[in-house]
Amino acid sequence: MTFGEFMLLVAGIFILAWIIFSIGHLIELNKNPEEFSDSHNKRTAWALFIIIYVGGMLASAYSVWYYLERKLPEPASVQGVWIQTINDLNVIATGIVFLITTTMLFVYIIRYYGRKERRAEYIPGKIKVEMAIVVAVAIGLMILILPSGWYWFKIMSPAPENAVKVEVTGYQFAWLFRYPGPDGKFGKRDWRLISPDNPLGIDPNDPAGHDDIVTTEFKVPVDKPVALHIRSKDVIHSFFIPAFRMKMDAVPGVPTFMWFTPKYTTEEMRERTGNENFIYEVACAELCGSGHSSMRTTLDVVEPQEFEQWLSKQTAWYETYNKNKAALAESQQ
Amino acid sequence: MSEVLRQGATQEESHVEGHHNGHHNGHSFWKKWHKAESFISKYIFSMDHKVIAKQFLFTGMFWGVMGGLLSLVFRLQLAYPDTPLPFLEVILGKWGEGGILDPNFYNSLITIHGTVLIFFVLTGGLSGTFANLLVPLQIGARDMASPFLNMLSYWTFFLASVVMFVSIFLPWGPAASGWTAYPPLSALKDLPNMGIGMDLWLVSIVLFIVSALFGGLNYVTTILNMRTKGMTMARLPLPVWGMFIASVLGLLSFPVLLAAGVLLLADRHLGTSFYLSEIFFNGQALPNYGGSPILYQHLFWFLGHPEVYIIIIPAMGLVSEVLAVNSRKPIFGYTAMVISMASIMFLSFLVWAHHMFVSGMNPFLGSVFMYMTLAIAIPSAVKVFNWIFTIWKGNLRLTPAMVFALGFVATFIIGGLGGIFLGNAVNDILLHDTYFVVGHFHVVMGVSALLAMFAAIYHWFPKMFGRMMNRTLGYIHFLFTIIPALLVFVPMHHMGMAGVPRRYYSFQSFDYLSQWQDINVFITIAAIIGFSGQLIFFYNFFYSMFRGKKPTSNNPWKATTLEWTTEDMAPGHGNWKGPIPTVYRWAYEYSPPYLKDSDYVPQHVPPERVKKEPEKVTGEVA
Ligand code: HEM
Ligand SMILES: [Cu+2]
Ligand SMILES: [Cu+2]
Repeated sequence: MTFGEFMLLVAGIFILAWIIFSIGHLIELNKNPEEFSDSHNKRTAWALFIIIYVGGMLASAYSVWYYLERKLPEPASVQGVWIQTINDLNVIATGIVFLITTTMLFVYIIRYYGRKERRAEYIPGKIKVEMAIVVAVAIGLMILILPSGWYWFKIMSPAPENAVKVEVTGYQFAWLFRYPGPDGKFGKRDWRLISPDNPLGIDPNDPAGHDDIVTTEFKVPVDKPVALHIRSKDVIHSFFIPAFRMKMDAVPGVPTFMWFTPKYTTEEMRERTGNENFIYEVACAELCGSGHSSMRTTLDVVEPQEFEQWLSKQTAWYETYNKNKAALAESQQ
Repeated sequence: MSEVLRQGATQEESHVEGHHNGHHNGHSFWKKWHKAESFISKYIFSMDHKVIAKQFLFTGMFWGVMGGLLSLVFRLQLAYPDTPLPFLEVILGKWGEGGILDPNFYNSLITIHGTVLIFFVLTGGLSGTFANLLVPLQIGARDMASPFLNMLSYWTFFLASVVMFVSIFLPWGPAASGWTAYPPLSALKDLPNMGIGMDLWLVSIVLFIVSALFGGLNYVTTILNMRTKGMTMARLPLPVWGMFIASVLGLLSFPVLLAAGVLLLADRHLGTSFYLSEIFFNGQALPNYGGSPILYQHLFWFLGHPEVYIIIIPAMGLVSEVLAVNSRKPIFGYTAMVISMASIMFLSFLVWAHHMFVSGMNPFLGSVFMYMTLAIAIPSAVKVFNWIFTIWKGNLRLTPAMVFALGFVATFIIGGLGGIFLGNAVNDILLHDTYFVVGHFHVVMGVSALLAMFAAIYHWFPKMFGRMMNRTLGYIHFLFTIIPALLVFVPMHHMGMAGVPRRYYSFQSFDYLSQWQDINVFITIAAIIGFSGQLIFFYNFFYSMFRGKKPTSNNPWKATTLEWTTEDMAPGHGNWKGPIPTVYRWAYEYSPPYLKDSDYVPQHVPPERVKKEPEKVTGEVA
């Protein structure tokens, strides 16, 4: 819809609303606002039932269909499958409760709208009913929550020993990655050492850091657990991989952590989704300033040998750092 | 001190008067002065709870319009992210240069929108209005325990409003940190729009808290000490219970936010490191070390979560009353209603970290908060079923207020069920900070609390202004509120499940978001309609205030509670011309089987009279 059409539509709705408004205003003028006739109540009750309940249910059905056309591709990590399962379970459980309670509400409206010859029944409530509600809701919630308690600890537990280690650092408004190199250890970091040559502030005196690889590319092998260490340089960000259904905040001064096991390579996902341009996108999910909505990076999931190959081709951070330093010293002489 | 304050004001006013009337003779000058003085003490620096209620209401309405307008601006941005809209430059100046909204100003808009709606409209406007109006009238008191503190509460709120309002128009830009104001974003004052605007935002919040504490102390004291004879706690109408419980909740949690805000101000200006550590910003390593941004989140949500219930518990009380009166049936499970409100209050203190499941918190803590959060769903469910059972077998008089109250129940169900997703820590890994959260809290807090507020306005309008509102316009207003609201916020749940993050200036940088652009246009249209629908309300409100029909009796809804026994609603501490009525029973004696012609027994009618002439029992003062 272009903006012109949009304005036309809004104007049209306004005129319509104005007509309804004027009629409504006039209708009421010679009526007694305290008098609620049987027919008035009946009309109001049925209007509510049809417009809000029936209309609302139809609209919800349409909206669910619309969503199914646009939902995320199938979860592409082992943990994502669990999370999606819990989400779907919640959809079903709350969907049922929603149907029951709203149906009760609106059926009672058309069943018990006010009439002169009727009288309300004097029912101040029963303790048994209240207890039944408490017990039923508690049991329902327990059933809903038990698998979640189990999965929560599985997702949040420390990563397996053999996990591929990657560190990601968020800053306004991009992400930077670090791989620990052949020694499997990250060098120490200190934010006071950050400089254009050393964007992460890796301590040059820590030998563990000499083989670290700093890169803007995020590549991981398929079917292997990946342990992601998450940091931030300035404000809070949040590392969100929608296809994996996972996110974790990046908090300055407080290292955080997340691990996942990708199920499909990028290539495989292209086949499964039928979208040849599919790419794993990573979004920032915590308001971090003016560039928040464009703080994008991508993830490439590849076969393990390809990953090893790629990794072995990267230059260690320390090499570039030293080269730059030498060049700097030379230019200064 | 009250005298001093009042005199200060009158002197200022007399100055103005004097200026205008300098050449008039002294006699008319003094006359005018006295007139001005009494006008000011009656309607401006008033200590009368009924006037203060209206002051809160009008201020809340002002901010409602303001917050709504702000949201329309950012909705237009979301619908048409790259179409230059020249009028934006006209209304926003440099923030809309070339017709394109500045991204920092987008963040400012969502910040001010959220803050003013949550604090100024749904807390100040809703509780401030109806606690002030109903607490003394329903418990049978001539005024609040401390009318002076009450006046102070409004005027600190007013001051908070002024500070917030000023901050919007300053050239440095209003705060852009989101209503949650997480540091370090909110602590780094060199960031765009995080300078003076952010300081004023914090000052405004601090003032607002002070106002809420003044108000809350007063409501609690009044309810505990000033009930009329026979009005035991177990006979209190539910709105009063709601205000009582929400006030206790506020008194215990607001001070924590006050502390959080003061510490944040210290981090901004005094070089402390409560929330800051290891930050590299603007090409410089900041010296701060050892603080934690997570500390702020704990402090913030320790209030932030109770805050949502500070909003909704009074709304629940008001709706319970409207539902019972218009069902002509006792509220179902009065005791259960009170207990569930009290347990919601209690549990509110134990769930705050469900807003922080993915902040890197210890997973064990996360699971505790998950269980506590789902526990809070139990009393919420009890309330929903009790409302449904209240209309069951009732004789529903579908007044506009009743229709709004039913709308409250319907939307509260949707929002509460959304809470079940979010309270589930595993599910929240996906849904946190997505549009699902936006949909959830707008439905449950935005829409349902607003519907409750409207229900209360339509219901108590005759009490406040002595006239009736136009009924048909009320229904039209209802449809133009609930339908657009659901069209706006239900699709957001789907967007959230599809991983659309919230607080995004545009959806253009991501492939997977672009397909939601149509929905953004749709939502914006619905939002414009919903906002315009409120014009119907404003018209009805102000028209009826002056030209509406007068009710035929004191008690147009045939309710049992004491507020309908007062004749005198003119400003002044009195409420009842004669002695305060004595209370003989609970507030929900509707359609008792022993009555034949009438279907309700007001709280103040002595049992002997009911026994002697049951057919003549009405709400009129004996
Ligand atoms: C059944 C009861 C409810 C449950 C289980 C529940 C649960 C939750 C959870 C877990 C969140 C955090 C989501 C996230 O940020 O990831 C949340 C957010 C929120 N809820 Fe609820 N909720 C319930 C009812 C309510 C009610 C009654 C209100 C208000 C009247 C409310 C207002 C909010 C607000 C304002 C937020 C979002 C704050 C923000 O991040 O800006 N919730 N809810
Ligand atoms: Cu961000
Ligand atoms: Cu909460």
